[in-house]
Amino acid sequence: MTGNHGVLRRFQLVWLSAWPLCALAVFASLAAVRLLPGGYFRAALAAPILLIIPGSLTLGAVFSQRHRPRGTAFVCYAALLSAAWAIFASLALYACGVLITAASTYWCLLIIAAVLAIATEARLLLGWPGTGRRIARKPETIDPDLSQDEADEAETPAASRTGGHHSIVAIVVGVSLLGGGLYTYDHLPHPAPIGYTQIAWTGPQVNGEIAVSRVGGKLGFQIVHHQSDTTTYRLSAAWMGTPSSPLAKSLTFSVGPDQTFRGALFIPPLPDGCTYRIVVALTATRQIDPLTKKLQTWSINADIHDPTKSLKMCK
Amino acid sequence: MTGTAYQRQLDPTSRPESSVRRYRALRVYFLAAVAFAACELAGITALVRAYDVAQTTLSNTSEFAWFWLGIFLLEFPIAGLIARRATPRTMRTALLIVYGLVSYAPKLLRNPASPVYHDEYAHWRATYEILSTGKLFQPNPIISIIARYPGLHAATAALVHATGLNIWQAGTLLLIIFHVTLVLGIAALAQSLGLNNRTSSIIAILYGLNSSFLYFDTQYAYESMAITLVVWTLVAYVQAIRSRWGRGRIAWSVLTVALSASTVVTHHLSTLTLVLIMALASVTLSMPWLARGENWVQTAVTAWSLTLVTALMAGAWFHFVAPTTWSYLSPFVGEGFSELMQVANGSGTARQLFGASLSPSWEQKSAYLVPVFALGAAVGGLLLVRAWIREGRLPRGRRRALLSAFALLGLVYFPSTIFILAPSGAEGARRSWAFTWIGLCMLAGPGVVWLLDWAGLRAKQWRRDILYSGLFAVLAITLVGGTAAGVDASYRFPGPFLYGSDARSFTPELLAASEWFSARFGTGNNIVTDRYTGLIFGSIGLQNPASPSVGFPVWNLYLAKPGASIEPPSLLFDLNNSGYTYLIVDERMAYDMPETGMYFIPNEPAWLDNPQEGKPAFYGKLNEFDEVQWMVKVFQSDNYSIYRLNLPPTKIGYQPQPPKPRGKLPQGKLVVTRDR
Repeated sequence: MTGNHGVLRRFQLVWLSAWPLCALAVFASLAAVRLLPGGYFRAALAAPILLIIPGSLTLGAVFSQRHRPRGTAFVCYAALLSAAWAIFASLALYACGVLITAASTYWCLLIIAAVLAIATEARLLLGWPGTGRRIARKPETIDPDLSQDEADEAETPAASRTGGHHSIVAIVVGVSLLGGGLYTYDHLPHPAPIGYTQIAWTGPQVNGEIAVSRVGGKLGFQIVHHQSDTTTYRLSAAWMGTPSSPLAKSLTFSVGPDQTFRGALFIPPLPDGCTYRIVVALTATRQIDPLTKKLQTWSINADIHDPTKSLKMCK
Repeated sequence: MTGTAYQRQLDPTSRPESSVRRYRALRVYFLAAVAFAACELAGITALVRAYDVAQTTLSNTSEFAWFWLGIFLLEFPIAGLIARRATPRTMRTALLIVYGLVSYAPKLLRNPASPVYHDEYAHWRATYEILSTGKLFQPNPIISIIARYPGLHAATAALVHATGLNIWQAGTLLLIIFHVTLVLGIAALAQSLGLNNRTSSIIAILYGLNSSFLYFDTQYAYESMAITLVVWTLVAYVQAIRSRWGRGRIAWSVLTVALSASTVVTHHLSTLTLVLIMALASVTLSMPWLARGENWVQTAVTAWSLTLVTALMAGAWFHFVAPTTWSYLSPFVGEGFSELMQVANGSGTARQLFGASLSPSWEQKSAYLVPVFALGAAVGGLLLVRAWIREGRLPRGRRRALLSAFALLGLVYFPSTIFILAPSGAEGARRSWAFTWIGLCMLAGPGVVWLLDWAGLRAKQWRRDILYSGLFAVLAITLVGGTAAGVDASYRFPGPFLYGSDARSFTPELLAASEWFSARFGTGNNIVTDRYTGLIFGSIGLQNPASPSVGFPVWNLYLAKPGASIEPPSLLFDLNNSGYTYLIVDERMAYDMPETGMYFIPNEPAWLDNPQEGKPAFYGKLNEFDEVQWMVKVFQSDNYSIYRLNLPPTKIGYQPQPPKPRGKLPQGKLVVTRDR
C-alpha cells in the first residue's frame, strides 16, 4: 500500500465513522451562508445544504449501513426527506406558537439535524460491523421472491453500480440546457407591452360623500399615460344629471410617452346641502375605443355635498 | 500489471489490433456523444423558437410544429439510448436525470419569472402569507382549500429563508428537483417491483407521456410536489414489503410513514390516491393465489399496517385540520357521476371535447389515439405477465401480488377516460391519470421492451428500422396526444392577451390597476371582481376577491341599473355585512366571451355563458354603472374600472339635476400639471 493510498484509506475510515458530525457542521454553517447577500451564489451554497443534509441524516439514523439506499436513490430520498423536514419544522413552529422566520426555521432544523446526527452516530458506533478485509460478510440466503434480474443485480459488484460522475455530468448537461434556453429566450426581442392610460382620484381617501366647505373644495386626480406615443386629450368636468351640465371649462393638452399628469378640480360652493355627483372625463381626441367604436374616454366620479347646509330641498 | 496485460504487451500482433478496435470504439462513442449533444442543443433551440413564435405572432400554429420538433429532439435521443441493451445502468440513470431536466424546459420557458397558471397565483399567495405573517394556514382568497395543505408553501418558504431567492425562483428550483426526482422515482418503483434497469428506465420514459407530465405537474402547485412524494412513498412501501424482517423492513416502513405524512400535509387528492393504491396492494398481498409464499401473512400484515397508518394520518388531517376537504372534492366525483348518468340516459349532453381549444386538429386527433395505444400496451403487458406466470418467472409471492396491484391501478385509466365527457368529471379524470399511468406504465413497459427486442431480432436492417420507426411514431403520437389532452394551448404557450383565459389575462394595465389599488386603499380589502382580474388582485395585489356561488351571486351586481333593485335582495346586505367595498370591472366582459367559458366560476348560471343574439350577457349593462346611486367610480383605465360600493344604499342619493342657484350653474375650474 502506497503512502497516498494509506492516507486515502484513513480518510475514508474517518469519513465513514464521522460523516454525521461533518454533515451537522455543514448544516450549522448555513447561519454563515445566510449572511451572504441573496442571489444565485448564496442559493448555490444554501440550497444543497438545506435540501440534502437533513434527509441524509434521516437515512443514516433510520437505516443500517448495509440496507441504506445508495447512489441516486439515496440522493432522491435525502432531497425528499429534507423537504419533508422543512415542512414538519414549520408545523412544529406553528404548533408551538413561534413565528416562522429565517432564524426560527434555521434553529428548528438545526435541532432536528443534531438529533438525527446523534442517532446516526450512535448507530454507527453501536452497529459498526468492523472494518478490514478479514471481516467477511455473513452469507445471505437467496430470497425466492427475487426476480432473475434482481438476483443478477445482487451479484453485481457495488463498484460497478455506482456512477456518480455520470449523474454529475447529467446534471451539468441538463442544467446547462435549461439555463441556456432560458437565457436565449430572455434575450430575444419580445413584443412591447401594450400601453394604457388611466385616471384616478388622489388625495385623502374618502368613504362615501365628499364634504365641500362653504367656499368650495378641491379634488385631486392623476392621469397616467403609459403609451409609446404622444396623445392629445380633452379634460372636462360635469355635474351628473339629466341632462348633465358642464362644471368647468374643458382643457385640451398633449401628453408625451410615459408621462404622468396631476390634476385638480376646483368645486364652487354648493347652494344647498344636497348631494351632487360630479364627473371628470378624459377623452382622447383622435383615439377610437376598439370596444365601443367611439372616441376613447376615461372617467371618474364623486358624490359631493355641503354638510353645513340644509337637506330640506333634497329628493 | 496483470498477467494478461503483460502477455498483451509482449505479443507484437495483438497491440495494433486492440488499439484499432479501441480507436474505433472511441470514435463511435465520440460521434454518438456529439450527435446527442447536437440533438439536445437543436431541441432546446427549437423549443425557444416555438415560444418566440407564439409570443410574437397572431393566429399561427407554427409554434406547435416548433414545439414538437424541439421536444422530439430533446427526448427521443434519450429514449433511444435508454432503450439500447448495451447502455450501462449508470448511464441510464444519468440519461433519466437529463430527461427529467429537459422535460421541465417547456414549463420553465412558459413563465420563468412569475406565476401564470390559475393555481400558481393561489399558491404564490399562500407562500407569501407564510413569509409575511410567519404563520401557516392563512386564508387563501383564490383557492380556499390550499390554506389547509401547506406542504409546498412551507418548503418554499424555508428555501426562500435559506437562499434569499424570491418565492418564484425558490419554488421553481424546488419543483425542478421534484420533477427530476419523479422521473427517477418511477424507475426506482419499477426496479423495486423486480424489473430490470432497462425496463425500469423505459417505464420512466413512458410515464412522461401522461397528460400531466409536461405542464400540469410542473406548475407551482401542491400536486406537483405531492406526485413525487406519492411515487417515492410507494417505492419505500414496496421495499418495506419486499424486505425481510431484520433486513431493513422496519427502516423502510419508517421511511414510508415519513413520506406519506409529507404527502398528507401537502395535497388532499394525492393522499387519497396514495391510500387507495396502498390498500389495493394490501388486498393483492392478502390473496393466497397471488401472494402465498414465505412469511406471506407477516408481509400482508406489514402492508395493511402501513396502509392503516397512512389512512389514519390522512383521516386525522382531514378531520382536524382540513374539514372542508370532502366538500371540496365531492362535487368532482358526485357531479361527474350524475352528469355521466344523464348523458347515458339522454337527459344531458356530453361535454364537447376540445370545444374551445386552440390546439391544431392533428394534436386533437392524436389525443383520441392515446387510449387506443394505451389499451394495446396494457393488453400486451397482461399477456406478457401471463406468460411469465406460466413459465414460472413470476411465482406466487410478494412480487406477483405487487405487480398485480399496479396492473389493476393501470387498468383504472380506461374507465376514467369516460369521465372526460362529463363537465364536472373531466377535471378529476385528468388529474387521476398522473396516478393511474404509474400502474399503466408498469404494465406497458415490459411489453415495449419485448417489442424492441423482437424488432431487434429481425434479420434485415430495413425491417428493424421500420419496426423501430413505428414504435417511435407511436411514442410521438402518444406524447403529442397526451399533452394536448392535458392543458389548453393558452396554458402551454405565451401569446397576446386572450380574454377569459387564466394564463393569458395578465397585462401591464391590470398590474398597474392592482398596484394603484394597493397603494391607495392598502392590502386585504374585500373586493368583487371576475375570475381573471381576481387572480392578479388576489395574488400580487394581496386583496381578497369574493368567492361567488349560487348562494352568493355577485354576477348580479354587474347587471345593476340606476334605480333598479338587485336580485336577490339579500345580495347587497351580504356584501355590506361581509365588508365588500370595491367592485372591479373588466369592460371586455360586455364584448367578449371568456376563453375558458366562464366569467366567475365553473358552475355559474348557464345564462351568463350563453350569448344572446351573439352578444354576451353583460353587453350594454356596464356603462350604466356611472349613474348607480351607491357606486362611485374612483379609477378607470382602458379596460378596468374600479367602483367604491357605498353600502347600504341610502334613501336619499345624489340629485338627478345639477344645482342651479338663481338659474345659473355654479362653475368650477380644472387644472393639470405634468408630474416630474
